[in-house]
Amino acid sequence: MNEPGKKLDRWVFFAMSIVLTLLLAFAGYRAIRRNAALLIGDFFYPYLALNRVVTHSVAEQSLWLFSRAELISKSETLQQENNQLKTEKLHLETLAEENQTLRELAQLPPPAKWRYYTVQILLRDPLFWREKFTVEINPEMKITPGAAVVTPTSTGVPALVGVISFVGKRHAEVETICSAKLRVSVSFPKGGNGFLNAGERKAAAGTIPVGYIPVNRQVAAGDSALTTGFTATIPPGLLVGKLTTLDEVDQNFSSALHVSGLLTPEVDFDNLRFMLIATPETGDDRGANP
Amino acid sequence: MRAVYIFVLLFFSLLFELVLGSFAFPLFLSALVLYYISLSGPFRRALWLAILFGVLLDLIYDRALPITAVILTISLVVGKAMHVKTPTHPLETALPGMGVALSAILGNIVVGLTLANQPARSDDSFWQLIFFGALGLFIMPILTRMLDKFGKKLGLSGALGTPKSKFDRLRPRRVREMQEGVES
Repeated sequence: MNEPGKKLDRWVFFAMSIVLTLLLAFAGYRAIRRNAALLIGDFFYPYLALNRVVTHSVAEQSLWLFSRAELISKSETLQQENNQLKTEKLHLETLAEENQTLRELAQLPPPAKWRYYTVQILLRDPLFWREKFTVEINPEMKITPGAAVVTPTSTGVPALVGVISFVGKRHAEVETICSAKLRVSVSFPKGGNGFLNAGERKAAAGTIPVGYIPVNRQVAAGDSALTTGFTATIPPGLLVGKLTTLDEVDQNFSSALHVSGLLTPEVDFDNLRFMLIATPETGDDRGANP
Repeated sequence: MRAVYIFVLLFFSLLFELVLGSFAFPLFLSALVLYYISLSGPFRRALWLAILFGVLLDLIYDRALPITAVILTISLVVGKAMHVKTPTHPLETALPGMGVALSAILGNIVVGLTLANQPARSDDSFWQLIFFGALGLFIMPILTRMLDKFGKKLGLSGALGTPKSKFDRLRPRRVREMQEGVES
């Protein structure tokens, strides 16, 4: 027969061992997190890709719902769109050539060239839905941490989604502009710069804090924020969002040099699927693909 | 055999969690599966499994802290506290199932409010609690019945215990009868 004292001792011992295990698990977790995530991400790749395979098959099957006439009209529309894009591309190539000639005449250094890779979301964390996600990459893509992730907005203008935080064999993790870890400089068309996820403001739902905007600049709520190009791995001129709130400072009564505000991102984080990863072209790349 | 069965159950719930997580559905099915494992075997084993499972899920998502391990452990303890005895009917698992689902969702909401940079809207969280709590109430008995059936086919004991016989339940209490000539 169990004595009550011994039973209590057993429970105390069990509770203590649980606490100790949690403590050890926490320490071990913090120690091996980065390497284990890389290893596990590649190990679980076929299972993580299951989601993509299912979505693709459903999308393909839904084509059967269209009649032949509908499919023909859709393909004609796409063909027209392609022709239009081809013409626009030719025009842009002419402009690029002109720009190159002008730069040579003005003895300016050639502009940075970017290589874009299309990627698809592989895994999203429901707890940190807007802050990070995993994308599927090809091992042949030369993606490095810090590369910019871009997506076209509803108006067709490319907008910054985030930055690659680490790269595995078949997957890469993206830290979005909503993540507090990501500090990116932004510029405003009327002049003045700011920093995402910095300053005195705290993020509210659907907004990102922007800090260190100089007081003496003519920045106002409603202004668009663009990437500056100060970071070598992020192309300049990408849309980030619109300034919705900005602190007001009366310079007669305050000696503050900077103000903070809130920015509404241009990217619809709930409906992200395909994106582009931009990597700067190196001299070797240009030699391989002139 | 039991170890293989538990491994398969947890593996599929992990896959389910990952696939549904990509559609922003929060964690709760794995919490229910772990509660079933706690019913069908020793509670301590289920606790260790909850910690391991949580750590694995956090590693896959590359979270800064092993929060899922804590959430799963707490929800398992809540489920156990709500129904200490072995259930004899699937419906007896309904209320603990709701408790498990509620505590898992509540854990998610707390994490969202404290650790995430983009706080969730409080009214959304309220509806999530109601919906997933109710879902746990309905799913747990079905899950228990279903997994017990699979387990029995493999020759394993299930989560549901055998009910006491009618004789045991109706056995009258022993009453000390008054002896003649003795005043109480």
